[in-house]
Amino acid sequence: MIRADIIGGLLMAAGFSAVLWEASSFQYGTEFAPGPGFAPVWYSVIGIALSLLIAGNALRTARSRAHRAEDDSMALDRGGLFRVGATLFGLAVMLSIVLALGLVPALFVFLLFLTLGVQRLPLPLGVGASVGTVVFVYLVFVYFLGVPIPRGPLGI
Amino acid sequence: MEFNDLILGFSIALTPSNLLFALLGVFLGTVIGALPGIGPSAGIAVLLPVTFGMPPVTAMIMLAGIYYGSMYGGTITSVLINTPGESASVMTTLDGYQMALKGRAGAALGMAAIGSFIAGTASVVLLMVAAPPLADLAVTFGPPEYFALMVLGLTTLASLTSGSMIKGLLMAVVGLMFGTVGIDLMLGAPRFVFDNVNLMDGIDFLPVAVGLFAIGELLFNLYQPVRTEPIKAKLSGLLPTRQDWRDSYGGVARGTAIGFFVGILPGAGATIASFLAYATEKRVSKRPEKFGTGVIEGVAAPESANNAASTGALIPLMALGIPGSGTTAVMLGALTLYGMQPGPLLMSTHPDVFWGLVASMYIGNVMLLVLNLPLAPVFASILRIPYEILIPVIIGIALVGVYSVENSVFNVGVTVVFGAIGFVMRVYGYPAAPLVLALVLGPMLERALRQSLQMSLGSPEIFVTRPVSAVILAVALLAMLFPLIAWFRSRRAGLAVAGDC
Amino acid sequence: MRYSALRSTYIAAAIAVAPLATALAQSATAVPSLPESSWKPERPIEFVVQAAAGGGSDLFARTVANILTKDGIVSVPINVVNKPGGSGAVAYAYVNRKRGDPHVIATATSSYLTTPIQGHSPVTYKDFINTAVLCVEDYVGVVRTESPYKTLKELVEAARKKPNGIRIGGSSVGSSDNIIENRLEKAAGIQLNYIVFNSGGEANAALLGGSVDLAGPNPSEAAQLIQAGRLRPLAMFSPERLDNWPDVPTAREQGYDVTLEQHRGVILTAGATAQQSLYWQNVMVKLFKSDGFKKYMKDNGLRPLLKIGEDSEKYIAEQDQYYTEILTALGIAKKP
Repeated sequence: MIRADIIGGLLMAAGFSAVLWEASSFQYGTEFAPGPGFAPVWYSVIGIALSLLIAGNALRTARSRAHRAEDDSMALDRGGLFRVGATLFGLAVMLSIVLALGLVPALFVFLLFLTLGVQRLPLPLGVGASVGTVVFVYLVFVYFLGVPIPRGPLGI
Repeated sequence: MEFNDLILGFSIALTPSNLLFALLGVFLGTVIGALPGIGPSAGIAVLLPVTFGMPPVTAMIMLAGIYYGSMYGGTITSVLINTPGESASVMTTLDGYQMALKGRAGAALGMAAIGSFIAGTASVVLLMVAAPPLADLAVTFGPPEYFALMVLGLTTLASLTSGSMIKGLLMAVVGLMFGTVGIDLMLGAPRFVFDNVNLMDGIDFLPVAVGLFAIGELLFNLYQPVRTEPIKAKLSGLLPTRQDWRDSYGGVARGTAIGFFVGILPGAGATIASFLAYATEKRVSKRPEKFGTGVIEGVAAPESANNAASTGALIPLMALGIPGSGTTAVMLGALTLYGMQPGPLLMSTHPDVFWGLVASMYIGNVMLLVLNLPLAPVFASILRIPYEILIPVIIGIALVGVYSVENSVFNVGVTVVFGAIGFVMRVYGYPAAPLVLALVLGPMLERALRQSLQMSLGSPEIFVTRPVSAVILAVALLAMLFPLIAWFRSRRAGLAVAGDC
Repeated sequence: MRYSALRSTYIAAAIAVAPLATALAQSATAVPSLPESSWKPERPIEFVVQAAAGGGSDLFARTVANILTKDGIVSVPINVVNKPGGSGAVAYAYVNRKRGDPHVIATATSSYLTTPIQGHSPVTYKDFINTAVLCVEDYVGVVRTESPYKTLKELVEAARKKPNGIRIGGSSVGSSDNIIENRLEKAAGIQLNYIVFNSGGEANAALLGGSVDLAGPNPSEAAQLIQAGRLRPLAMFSPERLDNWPDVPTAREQGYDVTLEQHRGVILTAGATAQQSLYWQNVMVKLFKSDGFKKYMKDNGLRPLLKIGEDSEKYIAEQDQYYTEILTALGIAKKP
């Protein structure tokens, strides 16, 4: 956690610095009142300060601590990270095919990938959960509420 | 108010067809509130065509039923699956979901229903007896007062975090920062828009909240199963206990008062009301350190507040014809569609509509209580389904729900991105609540500051010469000083201990 | 029943002048007779609204969709689809992607022109077929009843004595309120203090609460508040007095040439064939003649103004030029 705080703090300080850079090009004030640049500039200055504070605190704790090795016991679980990464990848693919395939079919493909590929549920369970979700979504949002969803070549 | 008016109201509200549509409205509202993403304003809009051809009073009874019914329904998914059903239920996820993890979902839902009923009914009484003077009071709230209120809101943000206060503050700043995205209202300058039309109106609150809370939680469960065993509590043992009630009644009362007052202000709304109620409850509580771990008053207060606020928001609408929120704007549109001009004369020109609506709201709140109390354990039994099956179901419904709010695929993308961010935050101990709340408060804070200084031609005196603004700012200052002092004390004590070893 | 007796004099007045209004409407906008089209829609119509549900544009679209299907003017279902965001930029970019599909129509109002002028939209009015303009909305300058200003002249004189001393509330930069402010400043040679609110509703609340001194809502928004004695109308920003409010003088009469109107119309995606375009022109003419649409215009204080086909294109181009001029003066038009 300590190393994560140092890296995270520094990363966020860098992010806020980029925001500050962008915000400094906005008009800072008008004749009487603050302009569009006022809030983003000050938010990012405070953000940089807080991020550095987190990194600094973590660094101090790391130095004062006798047994440094204990810190890395919080190493991330690789299998878990893989499942999360795969799910996010699946969601990204789903978003890219929504307009071509239609929302409901794209969601169905993603859910099959999630349940069978990522979660490794038994086949009937994975297919059942995917079909059930898609049917529920279609009935409630499309049929009952009449939400205009992107439709694909299948007409759904 | 005349007693005759109320009798007229009940004589209208109690006709079989109006009763039926009140029931239909509150039921639909519960469903719409419970569905993640789609909330009362989108729900009313999509169901508006259904009311074509009804008498105006029937239509209003149904639409209002959807509105306050959704406040009841929003609780359900917040508590059960950490997914805010609509934006005013975000605060409920903090303690409600923790209660569900401990097997006390039924108690949380039951108490939310009771609190909502009390708050809803008390607010209808206020709406009935004092709508015009309250509306006049609400409009005296100008930009300096809104600025003071937002500052007060911000000072309580840090108190919402369990764990590192600096991380909480940093997340609040991140939320404020995201709140600046979009075309600047005052000067029309684009900020962080990168020529994307979807970013011009800024980042919507709901996709962010659903991403951070619901998708973030699901991803974390995929990473490291939190709840392996389905909950096996008995259905009968799921209602609130006497102790729960003793813990909650203060929160219900304070939540009702705060919610109603914030609700009548045009532009503030139920989300901020529920947030202030939660923060207040934590401040006055004897066990503030337990907030966020599943205390029942942390559910009762914000749920009472959002119900009171939804009724309060009808006051500027009915008494002045001024919509204070997205949902009341849709209702204003509906009134116009039925050929009525909302405004100060509505109560005298269409007493049947006003009093029929008021009477129906008493009845509707009773219906919701009767509907929700026995259903609480039934809803809670969803948690008996193994979590790995709930994961695909929740993702699917949440994504389509988010799409439905503005028919926007872009918002679905926002939800996914913030889901990923929420997962990382969860892993490294950064709290999500300050981020989403700062996202709501930020734009209003900045706008009010700039409006006020434009009004006073640059003089900051405007904040202290207006009495209401001065009082709220003083309260905010106190609220800020107390935890800071406490924090420094505990820090000093902590350092002393660290120095010993 | 009690309420029918109390039903406002406003409505009574409106009914009394209705024949006159119709006569005016007919003289102002002769309904053209068009040849029938050989094309008919084969699928449900998607009617895109550039604003969220509940606003003026949404109300317009839902009313129109309702009339078109109920009166049998269009034989297929019409689905109203809200695509809010970016002051219209999201919706028009979406409609543009449907180029060539005659089953997609959209509402258009002033933001259809002002957003592209500010450089905030990838598409402009030239990317669409501007099928019809159906009506226009006027604006009225109002103060609260407690205000010391009884006429526009008094207010202008006060502003002359104290530059920036009079606050005018409105929604967003480049909005109708902002344009009225700018035109009034120009016409009277004064400096007003423009306070931007999040919506017209919030600006009206601020006016009632005394946070601002002047606002420029639509007559329909202000009607009840005026009648209830909460607001006082100072001037109409229309070319002539409104039939409903014969006592409210125009700004022009009071010596300040400030007029502004917001049109409401319907557009079609580019690439539709001449017959498809003709079909929609016919539909819009029938809509304009329907009783339902006449009632909608009357209920909402809208002035009938029918421009079809070439006339509509010409009107839109003129409006675009007018807005470009003003927004350039306001310093928010995109530099060419």
